Amino acid sequence: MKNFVKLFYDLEQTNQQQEKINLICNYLHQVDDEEKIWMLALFTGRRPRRMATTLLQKKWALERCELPEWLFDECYAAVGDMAETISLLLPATEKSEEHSLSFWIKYILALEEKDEDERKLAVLNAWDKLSNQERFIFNKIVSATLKIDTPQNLLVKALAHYTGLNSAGIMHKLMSKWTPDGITFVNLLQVNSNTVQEVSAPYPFLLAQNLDSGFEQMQEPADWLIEWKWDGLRVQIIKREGKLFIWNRAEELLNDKFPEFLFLEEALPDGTVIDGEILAYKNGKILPYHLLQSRISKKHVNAKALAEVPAVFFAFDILELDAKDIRELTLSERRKMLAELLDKLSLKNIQLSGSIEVSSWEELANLRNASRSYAAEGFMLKRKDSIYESGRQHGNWLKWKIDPLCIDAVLIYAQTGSGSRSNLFTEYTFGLWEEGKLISITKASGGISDREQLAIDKWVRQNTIEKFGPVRTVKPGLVFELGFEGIQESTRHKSGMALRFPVILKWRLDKKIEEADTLASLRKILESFKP
Amino acid sequence: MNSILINLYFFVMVKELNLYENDLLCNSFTYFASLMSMSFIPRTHLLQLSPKGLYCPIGDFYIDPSRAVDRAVITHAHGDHVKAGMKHYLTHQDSSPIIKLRIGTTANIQGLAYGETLNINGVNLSFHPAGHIIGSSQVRLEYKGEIWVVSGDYKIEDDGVCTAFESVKCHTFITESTFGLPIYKWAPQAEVFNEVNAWWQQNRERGLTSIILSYALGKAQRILHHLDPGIGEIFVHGSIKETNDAFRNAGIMVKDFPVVLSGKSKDHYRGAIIVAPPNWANANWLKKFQPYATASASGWMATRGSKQKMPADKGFTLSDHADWEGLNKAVKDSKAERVLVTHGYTKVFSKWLNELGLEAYELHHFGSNIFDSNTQIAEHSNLGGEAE
Ligand SMILES: [Zn+2]
Ligand SMILES: [Zn+2]
Repeated sequence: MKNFVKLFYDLEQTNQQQEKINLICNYLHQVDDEEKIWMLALFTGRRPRRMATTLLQKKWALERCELPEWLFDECYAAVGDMAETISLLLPATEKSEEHSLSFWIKYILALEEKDEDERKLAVLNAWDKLSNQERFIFNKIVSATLKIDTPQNLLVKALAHYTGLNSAGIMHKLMSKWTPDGITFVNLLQVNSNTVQEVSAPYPFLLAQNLDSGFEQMQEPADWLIEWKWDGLRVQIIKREGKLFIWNRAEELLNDKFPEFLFLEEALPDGTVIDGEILAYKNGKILPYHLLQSRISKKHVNAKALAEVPAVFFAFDILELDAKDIRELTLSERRKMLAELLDKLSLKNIQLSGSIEVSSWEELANLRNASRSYAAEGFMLKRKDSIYESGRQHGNWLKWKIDPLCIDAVLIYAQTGSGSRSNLFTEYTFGLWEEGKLISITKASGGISDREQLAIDKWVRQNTIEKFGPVRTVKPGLVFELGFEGIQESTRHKSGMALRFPVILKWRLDKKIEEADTLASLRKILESFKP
Repeated sequence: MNSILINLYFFVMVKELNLYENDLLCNSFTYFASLMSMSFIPRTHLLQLSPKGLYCPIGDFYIDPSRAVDRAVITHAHGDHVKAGMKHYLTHQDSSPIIKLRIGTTANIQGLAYGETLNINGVNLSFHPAGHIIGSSQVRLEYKGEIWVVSGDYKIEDDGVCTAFESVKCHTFITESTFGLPIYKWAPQAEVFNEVNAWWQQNRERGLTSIILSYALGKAQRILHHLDPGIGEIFVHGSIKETNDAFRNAGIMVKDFPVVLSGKSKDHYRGAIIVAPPNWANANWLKKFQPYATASASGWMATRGSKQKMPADKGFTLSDHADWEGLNKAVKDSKAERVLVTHGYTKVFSKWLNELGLEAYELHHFGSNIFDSNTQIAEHSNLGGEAE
């Protein structure tokens, strides 16, 4: 299990993505195909079921190391992980034996048939043969608590590099239903991989450009399809050869994340590709994007999340119908086909994105000011006679976003960044005035040049008042202009408000801290958001 | 004050008697003898904890005091054990050059060799090797046949650089307990340095500069001694060079290495290893060596949690303190009747010793009702105090 243990610990010690990919690649080169399958199983959450609780393992370990329980508990308090505590406390291995990860997983799977006494003997026997770090991994697998933090897309990239296969295909294979027993590495990734990839593959997404220039070259509003720009998750929903695929722009297959759309596998006709946006939508209102985001980031979407953050799909384009690529048709024609299809099927949770009719650009500009009250962040403008091209193109699709909101806030805490910035204070928390005190309102980063960053880092070091772990409280002295795209009430924040997408716009060297904004002024902005 | 003192000693006596009665089977002939010798006159403790540090009332001196006093006995030159402002310092002769370096050449320092005895108001004081860093000592005090030993910081394994730990028999042993949990078990240092050298070699093959973060006093000399010069060039940060020079000028042989210079091009250091103190290795300084890999070496690296908190690419478990077994061995070999535990996991380790049948207390609880409760005892924090 040496190789797997080394991979696990090495991955834990780096936060550079490329390095993680290299480590996985090297590992794949070192181990046989059987071990690869088990590694993929563990990395994708397909772990063996629990054969002994951590408490049971603790009981066995206590007998083996002859320590009083209170001392064990003190150790656990210092380590914070039961499997690791046990691995550190067990007597040193006298005669270690090297076996593959597959060997030990099969060993663990065989515990299933055993009663508790036999399981205990088997676990003690394994402990005698494993090194400290191997014991840790072994204990984690036995108690079904092994957690791998490496993101799936890095695993997929490493596999793509190792096999030479296309990453979308690999992602799809990994996400599909498979179990580690009864499948070989070759079967899992290679067989049918090409056809699978073609069947599932999304079209390259057409991306909108920012509307920078005025309306001189845009002719009449009637030439454009105008939609609210919602802040959602852009996806293509694909139904081909009886299978459904929901892809985001990062080529991640999201079927697992959206059980509410899985019925489309039945409902949509074969050979359909719809482009659109998933939004969190409840009681006739669009919910903030971060709620959808946190729902997606969970491994398993439970009933609670489904009820609290229901998802709907706003369809705005159709790229394939009756298994025919229709991207060369004009937007008007495609919209008509999309509207007819949706009308015919009348699908739950799926709707055609609405369009806005205005007679002049001035009228639209006025409407734009009300964007926020519709929970929109501006408009999408799409030329009605345009075809669906790939990538960011030509100004046929434009987004006209509302300006970010902004405030001047004072730096109050600084924290070191991660990775290559772990020695620089690059993460900041800002405060606004209230009754002569600065109340923390948000963290924000970005928008600062490297040179400014170094200057701020130095300033933080010289003006530290207190240290709490990596966080430093600094003397109020620096003012920054922060932009944000929304604001909502929040009980989790001291200020009672949470900003959406806060970014640092500018270091206001010209401003004194007394000139920074007050909490009251932020509350005013919040009020303006309420319908 | 006086009556409180007497009460306390009475309390201690009763406690000892109880212990004796409860444990009749224990081979406590010495115990019996010591109780007899006390007769009914309250015995003064050779050392007591006072607000300024560990105090010897008979000899009128302090050991590793945290505030300015007239006579300070210093176990070793780490910052949490030696402070500026003492009228007189008494320490091992090899600690003198570092105390001078850190506090100033005007400091009034008297140095003793290991085993050399000095009589202070009838208290015989001598230093014995603690194996922690160069010059580190256990302090042995003897008064009318009663012996107390203060361990200071210590480790059992011979690190090849400083004089190895020697066990000293005593009646009362005051021990540190930085790593006083059984999860701390050090691998032999040869294994750790094989890992360190392999890491350096691998970085070198990848065209990286290796930067190992280490305190200037102690850990740095130990690492430098065990780096394999066959792999590549070895450089040190200026503050380590300064420490090494202080040793060398005093005639203490430590290996000498060139200081890393800021004016040189990055390529100059590619594939080399640089030993630097963590407080100097900020992003600005490090970026001069891009591309590089960093490592830190400490006993805290034994657990994944602390390893992950460390802003270094790699963590090696290497400590200049005793591990769990080392602490137990030192206590056992001292043959002490009473153990006072300080500096670390005091509660855990004293409770453990109690369960083994030893009389053990946390130092700051021992006699604590005599003194202010605000007595400060230097603690090694796992966020990295001077010593770790
Ligand atoms: Zn210390
Ligand atoms: Zn020390």
